[in-house]
Amino acid sequence: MVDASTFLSISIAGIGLGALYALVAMGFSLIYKVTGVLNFAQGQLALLGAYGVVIFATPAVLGLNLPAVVAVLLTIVVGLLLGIILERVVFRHFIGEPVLSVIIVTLALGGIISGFLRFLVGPNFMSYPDALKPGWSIDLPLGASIGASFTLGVVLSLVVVVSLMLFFRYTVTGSILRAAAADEQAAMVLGVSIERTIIIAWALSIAITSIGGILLAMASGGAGFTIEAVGIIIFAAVVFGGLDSIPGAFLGALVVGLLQEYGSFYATGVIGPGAGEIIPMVFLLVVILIKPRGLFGTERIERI
Amino acid sequence: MALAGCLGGGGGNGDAVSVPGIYDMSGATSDVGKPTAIGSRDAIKWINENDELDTEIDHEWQDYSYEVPQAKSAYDEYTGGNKPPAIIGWGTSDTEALAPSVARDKIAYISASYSAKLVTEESPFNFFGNLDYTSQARTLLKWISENDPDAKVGFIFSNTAFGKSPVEGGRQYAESLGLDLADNINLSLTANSAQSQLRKAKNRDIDYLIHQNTAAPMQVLLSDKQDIYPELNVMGLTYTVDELRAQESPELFEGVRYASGFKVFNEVINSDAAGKQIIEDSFEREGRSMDDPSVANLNYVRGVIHALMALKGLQNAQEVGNMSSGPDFRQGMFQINDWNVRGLAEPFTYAEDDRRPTMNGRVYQVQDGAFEYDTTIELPRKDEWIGL
Repeated sequence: MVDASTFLSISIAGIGLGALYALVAMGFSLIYKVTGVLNFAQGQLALLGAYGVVIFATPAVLGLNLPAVVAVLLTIVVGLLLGIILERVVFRHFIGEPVLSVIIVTLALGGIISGFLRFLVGPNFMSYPDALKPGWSIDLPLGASIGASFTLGVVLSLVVVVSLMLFFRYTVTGSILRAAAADEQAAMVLGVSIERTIIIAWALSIAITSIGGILLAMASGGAGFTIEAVGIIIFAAVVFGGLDSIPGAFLGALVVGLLQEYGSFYATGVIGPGAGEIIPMVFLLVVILIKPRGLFGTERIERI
Repeated sequence: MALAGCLGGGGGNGDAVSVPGIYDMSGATSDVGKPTAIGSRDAIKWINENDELDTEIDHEWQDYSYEVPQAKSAYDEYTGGNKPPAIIGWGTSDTEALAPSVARDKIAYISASYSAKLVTEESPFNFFGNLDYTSQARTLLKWISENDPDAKVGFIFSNTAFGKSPVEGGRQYAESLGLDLADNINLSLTANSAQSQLRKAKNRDIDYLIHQNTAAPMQVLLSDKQDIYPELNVMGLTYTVDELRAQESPELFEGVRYASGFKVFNEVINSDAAGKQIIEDSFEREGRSMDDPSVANLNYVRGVIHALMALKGLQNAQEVGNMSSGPDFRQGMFQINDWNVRGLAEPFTYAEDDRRPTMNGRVYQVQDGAFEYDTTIELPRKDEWIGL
C-alpha cells in the first residue's frame, strides 16, 4: 500500500530534481529551436557551470577566492561569453552542413570541456563554499519538505520557462528567432539579421545550462563529474516535450525527474536495482515510438 | 590518454629487476588512483635510493586511464620480452581483466581491488594489501553488534560487481551476529540525488547504512542525508571517504565510520612507524606538502604499502630462489608472516591456501574533518569466507 506522506515526499523530490534537469533541457531546446543543432555537449556544459563556481570561489584551482555570489555571477557570464565564442568560432561555420557533422562537433566539444576540467581541477568532487550549501527547507503538508537547491531549481526553471515564452512571443528579437527557426532562408531574404539572434540564442542557452549545472552541484554539496550524466537524461525530457518546445522541455524534465524518483523508490523491488535510471530511458523509447515529435514538438514540413 | 612511464617513471635498466606499474592517473577513478600511484612511485624511488634491495627496482609505469584495453596494452608491453616477477596494478577494471593473464604468465599482480574473489584458486597470482571488501563490511557489522546490538542495518551500493562485492557475505555475517537487517538499497555510481534511497532507509527504520561505492555518490548521499534523515549513521568502505573529502566537507562527513586494514595518513605521520620515514623523505625530495590532502591522504599510504609488498616479495624471492621469477616472487609472498608493513598496517600474513593479508579491521570515525582512530576489530579467519 502506498503511504500518502511518502508518496508526496517522493513526488516533491522528483519535481525538484526535474526542475534542475529542466534548466539543462531548456538550454538544449532553445538551441535546437533556433538553430536546429542537436547539442550533445549539454551534460558537459552543465558540468562546466558546476565547476565554474569552484574555479572562481576556491583558491585551490586558479588562486582565486571570490565570494560565492560573485563566483556564481561570473560563471553565468562565462556561459554567456562561451555561447558567443562558440557560435562565432565554431557553429557559424556549420550552418547548412549535414546534421551528423554538427552532432560530431558537439560530441567533440563535450570531450574537450570534460578533458579541460579534468586537467584544470582534477577528477575530484569539489565541495561548494558554505554560502552555496544553504541548509533551509520549506515544510509542506503531510510531513514533506523541499530543500533549498530544489526550491531554487523550481523557482528558477519557472522563471526561465515563462521568460523565454514571453521573450519569443512579445519581443522583436524573439519574433526574429521564431522566424529564423521557421524558415531561415525566408527570414534572411526579408532582411532579418539571423546571425545576431543566433548568437543570442547560444549565449542564453549556455548561461541557462550553467545555472542548471550550478544548482545540480548545490543539490549534492559540490561539483562532481556525475553531473555529466544529465546530458543523457535530458534527452528523455526533450523528446517527450518536443525537441523544439521550451515549455515541453520543462514539462518533460519534471516527468523524467518524477519517473526517476518513483522508479528508485517503488520499482527497485520489482524491476531490480537501477530502476530509477532505466525507467526514464524506457520512457524515452516509448515516446519515440508512439509520438516521435513529443507533446508540443513542431512538425517541420520540408518541400523537396 | 595513456601516459607512458618513460615520461615520468623509470626508463628501463638491464641490471635491475623490473616491477612495472599500471596506474589510473587520469581516468574515472584517478581521484584515488593518482595519490596511490604517487605513493608507490615515491616509495620505489626511496627503496632504490636507500639500497633496500641488492639491485635496483626498475619501475616503468603507464597511466591506463581506467580503460581496460589500455591496461591490456600496457600489460602486453611489459610482459612481451622478459616477464617481470610482479606488476603493481590498480583497480577492479585492470585487475579482473588481467587476472587470467597473470595466472597464465605466472606474474604476481599487486593491486587495490579488494574483492574477496581475488583470493580464490581462480586468481592464484593476485595479491592485495587490505581487508577484502566483505571483511571491511564485517568489521563495521561487528562494531555495530558490539556497540549497538539492537540497531537495524542496511547495505547501500552501486549495482556493479564492485558495489555488490561485500553484500552477500556481509548480510550472512550480519545474520550470524543476530543483527536486524533491512532490504538492500541501490545508489548508482552517477547518482545526482539520493533522496528516494534515504526515504527508503527512513521508512525501514535503518539505523546504520553501510555504503560500498565511490566518493561522489557518498557525497550525494551525505548531502541529502542532512535534509531527509539526519539521524542515520553512515559507514563507508574504503573508496567512499578519505582525508581530502573529510577536510573539504567536514560537516557532511561528521560521524562517518570507516574500516581499513591499514593506517590513515596523519596517523602514520604522528606515529613512530618505520614506514613514516619513507613518506617524510619522499615528500621532502619531491617538494610535496603534508598539508595538501589531495596527495597526503590514506591513498598515498595505500601506494606505499604496494611498493613495500613488492619489495618484501622480491627480498623473499631472492631467499627462496630467483627474484626475477614470478613463481618465486609468489612463494616469497608466502614467507610473509605477521608483518606490519613497517608500521603502516595491521599485521599481514599470506599463505598458499589463504591470501587474505589480514582479518583485523581498524575502525575510524570522522570528527571535525579528521579521521579519529576508534578501535581494531579482530575477525575470525574462516575458510568459508574465502571468496565470499
